[in-house]
Amino acid sequence: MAQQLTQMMASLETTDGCEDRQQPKIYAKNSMDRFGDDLCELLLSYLSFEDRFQCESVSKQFRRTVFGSVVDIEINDRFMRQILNTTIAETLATITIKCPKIETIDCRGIRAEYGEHIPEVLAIFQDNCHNLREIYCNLWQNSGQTMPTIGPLVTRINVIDDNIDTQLLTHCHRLSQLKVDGLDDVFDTTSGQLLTKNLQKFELNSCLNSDYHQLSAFVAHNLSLICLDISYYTYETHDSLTEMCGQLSRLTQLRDLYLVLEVIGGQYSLTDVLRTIGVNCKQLKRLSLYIYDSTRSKRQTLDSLRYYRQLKQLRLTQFHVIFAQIDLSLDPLSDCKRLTHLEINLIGKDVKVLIDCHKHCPRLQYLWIDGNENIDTECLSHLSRLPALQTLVFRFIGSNDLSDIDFNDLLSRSPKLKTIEIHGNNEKKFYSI
Amino acid sequence: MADNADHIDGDDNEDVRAQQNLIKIKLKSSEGGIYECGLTAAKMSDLVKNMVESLGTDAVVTTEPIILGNEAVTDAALKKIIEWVEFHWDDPPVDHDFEDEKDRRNEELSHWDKQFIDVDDQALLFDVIAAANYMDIKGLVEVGAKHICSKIRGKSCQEVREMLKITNDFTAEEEDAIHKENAWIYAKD
Repeated sequence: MAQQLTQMMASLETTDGCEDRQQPKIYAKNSMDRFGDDLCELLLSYLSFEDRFQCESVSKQFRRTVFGSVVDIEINDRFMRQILNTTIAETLATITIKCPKIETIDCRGIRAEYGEHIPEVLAIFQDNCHNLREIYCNLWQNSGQTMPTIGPLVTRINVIDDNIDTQLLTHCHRLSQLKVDGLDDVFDTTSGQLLTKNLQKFELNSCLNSDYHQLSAFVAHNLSLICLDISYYTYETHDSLTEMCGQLSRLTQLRDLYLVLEVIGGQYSLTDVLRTIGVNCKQLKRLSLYIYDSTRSKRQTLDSLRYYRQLKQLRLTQFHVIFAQIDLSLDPLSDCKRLTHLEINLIGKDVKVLIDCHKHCPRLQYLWIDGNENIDTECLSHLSRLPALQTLVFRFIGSNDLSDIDFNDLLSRSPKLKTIEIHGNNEKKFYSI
Repeated sequence: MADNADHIDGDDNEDVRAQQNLIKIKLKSSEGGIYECGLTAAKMSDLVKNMVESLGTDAVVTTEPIILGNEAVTDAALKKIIEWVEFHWDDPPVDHDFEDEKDRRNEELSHWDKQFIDVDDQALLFDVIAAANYMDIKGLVEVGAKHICSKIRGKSCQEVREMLKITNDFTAEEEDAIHKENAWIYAKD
């Protein structure tokens, strides 16, 4: 069947092309038939993978154009369930003939349940997709079968199973993005050797004090990291946190840092932590901080944000509620002259923090505020002075006294503001110029 | 020296763009209607941008309107297009540090764009898309494409044909054969 299909798809292209040249047709203005193949292909390129097959028999033009733009596909549980109801080899062969330009296959969305079929599926794709360049996958129990063959194509991996032999990572020389639960996963269990080097993006779900030596070894061989997402838990002293930050601050190529700090006990200083990283990681352009602190022993400030001079985006939305001891101020942001994007949590805070926001953040284009009854007309009046602000988003839990009139008034007073979004409990509301 | 290091390149550029958008140029539809549009906004069209650059800004401002000869550029379509570029000309440029082509493709349309493109008159909608394609306004073609694809989502072939007024040029047998090739998508989920 696959061979017939190849011939048929080829003949479809040639005959139709000739017809078009010989007799140009006049189409109704409200008919999609009026568009040429190039535009039609572009328009249909935003369809999902499955919708493309669903639409293939709409018309011959759809058939000619609907698959041309498929360069990356995502294989998930739903797709696996569907093809398992058919003859897998035949179905996949048909799909790869229709979509000859596939370059990337992402199968990280597949759960262990379908893991046993993955080697077969990937092998068929690898044989039939002549433009295949990259595979993103998980490590499954049976990955040992496939990794030696597909390894050279694998560039992104999620390790989702605790009991997996991560030794397989050594087959993936081009690996650039890795997600693991703990640092143990990137070290050989017997020899203790580091399994992955020169990563660009690393997500680490849990890092503990005891991981210090592994973290040090990992950092030393992954100075190339551009993006790091790390959750650090400490029950101990100031020292362990300082050491950890000392390691992170060696990553001078870092552009994007998502840092979760969960501190229980001790007398650490957030100012020191942030300064160490800010002073050394000079390329940082996005910083997301989530801080959970149950010490309640020390008032903390964000003064060290002034060292993040290249920062474009800052997210301070996710402070844990317990963490009420932080002095929030926009003053240090005056030194972050490139800042265009800010997300802050003002729940329970004094909105006086917004006075002079236009002086501290003159280039701000996007502002997200978590707040509630403390957001009042005076607060809106501070925001109206932000000279470059285009999008303002409020997340309100509970109620306040603001009305449509107040928001429309803000829109008319702000020099560049185009859109205000209000995210309520279950709905979104929009105001636009 | 320290001050120089902190200088932000984009600032001057943004000022120039804002200044230039105060300059109005005239665009002429294929139906003959002439409409004014800010220069920076109009240059979101690569077609207009190239014309302005080859003619010189002064010539464009003082002389004849720029003629947009494609028949899709009707008066109504051109008015919609000017509305769109006048809203979007000062959008922040795509920041490649955080967003790549694929992210942008998958991003949902903004509330404003959704309302803008949700046009009841399908002939006008298709005129706007074809005119934006002719004028080479990539952002607007993308808005049209996302809108059409969101309407197609989940519909049967027959429903898609009826909605988009597409002629079915397959025989029943051909349609059947395609249906069989794609049997996997009809498998029970």
